Amino acid sequence: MVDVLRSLGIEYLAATPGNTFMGIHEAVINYGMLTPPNLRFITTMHEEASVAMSHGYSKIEGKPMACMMHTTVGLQHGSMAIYNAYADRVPIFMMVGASIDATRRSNAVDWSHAATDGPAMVRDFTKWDDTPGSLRHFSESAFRAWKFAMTPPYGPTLLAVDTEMQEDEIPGGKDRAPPIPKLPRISPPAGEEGAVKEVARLLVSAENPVIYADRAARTPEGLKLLVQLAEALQAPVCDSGNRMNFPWRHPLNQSRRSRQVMGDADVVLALEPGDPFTLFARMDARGNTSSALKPGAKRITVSSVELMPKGNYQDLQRYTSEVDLAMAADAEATLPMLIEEVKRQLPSGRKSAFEARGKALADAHREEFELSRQTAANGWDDSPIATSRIYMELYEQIKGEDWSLVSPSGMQNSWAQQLWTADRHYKYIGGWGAAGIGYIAPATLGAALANQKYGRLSVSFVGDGDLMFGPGILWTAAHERIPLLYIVHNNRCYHTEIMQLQAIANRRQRGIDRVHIGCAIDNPNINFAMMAKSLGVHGEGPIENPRDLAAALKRAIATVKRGEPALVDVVSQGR
Amino acid sequence: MRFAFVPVILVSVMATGAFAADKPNDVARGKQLYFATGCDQCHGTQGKGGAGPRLAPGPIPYEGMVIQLRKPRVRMPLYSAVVMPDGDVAAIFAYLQSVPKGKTASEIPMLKALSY
Repeated sequence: MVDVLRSLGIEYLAATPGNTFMGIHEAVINYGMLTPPNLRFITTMHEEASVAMSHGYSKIEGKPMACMMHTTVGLQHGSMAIYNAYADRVPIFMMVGASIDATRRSNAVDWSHAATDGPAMVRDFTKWDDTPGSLRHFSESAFRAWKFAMTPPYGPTLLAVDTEMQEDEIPGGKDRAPPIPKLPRISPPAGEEGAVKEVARLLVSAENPVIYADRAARTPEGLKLLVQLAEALQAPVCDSGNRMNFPWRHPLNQSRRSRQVMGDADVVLALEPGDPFTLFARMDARGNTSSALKPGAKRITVSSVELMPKGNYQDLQRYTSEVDLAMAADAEATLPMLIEEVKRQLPSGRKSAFEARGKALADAHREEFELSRQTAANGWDDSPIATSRIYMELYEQIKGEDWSLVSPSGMQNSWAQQLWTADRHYKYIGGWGAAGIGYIAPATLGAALANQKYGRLSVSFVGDGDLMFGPGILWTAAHERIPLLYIVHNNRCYHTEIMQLQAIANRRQRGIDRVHIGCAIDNPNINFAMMAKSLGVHGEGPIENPRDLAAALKRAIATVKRGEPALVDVVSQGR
Repeated sequence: MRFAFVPVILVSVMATGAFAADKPNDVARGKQLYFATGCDQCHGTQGKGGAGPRLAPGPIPYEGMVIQLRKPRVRMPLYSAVVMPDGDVAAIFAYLQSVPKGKTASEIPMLKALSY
């Protein structure tokens, strides 16, 4: 089994230990970790952390990490993180220990940890699962699980592995071990040639084509391809921020002006759009809808997710009936053919018009950047500390390093995208997928684990609420010596929820003087630096005076550069 | 409807005598109300912006603020006269007017030096 894992290119296996998978656990630590290519066992303190670490790792490394859980009590703990990974279209190789032969369950715990179909509880939000009946079956299904996870749309897969099969000797002895299958090279599904030609025709003949990119750049190549397409067309790109799709300071990056460029568009090419309806339409508080595009505008979608729809969980979001051309294909795999076709069809007589369009967009990008720079100064010396200042104080110290921002930045007004410069895929990996709180602290540690071998400086902004879902991850960071700088965006509340609760209380005309109940994280205030220290992580703070921030960051960054985790607790504005 | 709404609000506010209120007291009360009514959650502790737009320094005209509170656009929560009486609005406005100007980007070295 360990040899099978290694042949899949798996480097790490994360787990909170459990008696249903001691057979694999023992084989990993006493065989897999001691013989090349060496596996590494990552000890976690919650199954949700195991899955979320695998989630973050995959987004940096572009391949699955393994994690393992009990069938029942472990999988239930891990299920939220599995749903996040599923909705974020990320490959994870998961295994659960399964007590299948009821006659070999020896006590009450064995029975309560067993299920006749354990994977059923997460089947709605995994790509595929299997329960192998033999070692040969395990080997074949492991390869199949890896292949399905890595075929776009990516997603988590699950094997329920019989406890006795893990622990018993190989039937017939070691020499009868089943062969390990050959790992295939995955060829992702690209768009159909005729449809690609039609999309190219629409794009090159448009006055104002717009490219929208959601989970489009699966790999570093995806970002480069998107730059080629945008530059060939001199078309604006609106990046959702769910992946590093497009360089932040590229003049054609119009993400901050997406509403405006969409309103002017006559053709919109949406690459892997998570929510086609919201992209093309507006809806008011009463549910009334109107088009976000002008009349006659053409709508094109390229989406691999449409190749694998499921019905229960609603992560596919709302569809719009106004799409003109829906291509069921992987966007990144389709881009080379589309770029070639766009270049072939470019009308020679419109060169100056394209250049003028590009110049106008570059001017608009520069103006937007200047506006961001001015806005960032607002509240510069305030306490609680402005999120713009935290981002700038950090950037001042890391801009010369090979940094990787592994947390989503939306909860801090996307200051990184507004002010920093980034042009490589690993610089930013988006967020949680299904917005399940508790993702950031463990997933960003998984991303830092992947960044470690490249010597990158990993940085994570984690909310106080998110971190408290599973603070045990700090111990894992220290125990495994994973270099990561956590900055706690400590606004002392579940901030989104407190804003929403205010809106409801006011709508009912009851006032908001009691909305802190259930939302505030104070009384007592949590001292995250002290908590970090108790778990073996370098801790700074709580930082309340913005003038103290630079020195605290400097000490923490020095720790991370030595190969260890550090945490800076910053008492911050809500957003 | 919005244009018809404005005069009603203005008359209502002026009738309360809010504009003639004692300024220092209004500022102090306005600051207390700014936090008590949760303005800080979206607009920052000194109105410098966050999830919502910047309110201070230099707040929008009083009439515009009243309209936005009573008939909000976009994601702004409704603040009716029941939960925020006109006198409270005036006090919060006085507080926002009192917020001093902060540094501009050109006065902050790391923002000034930020390269495009």
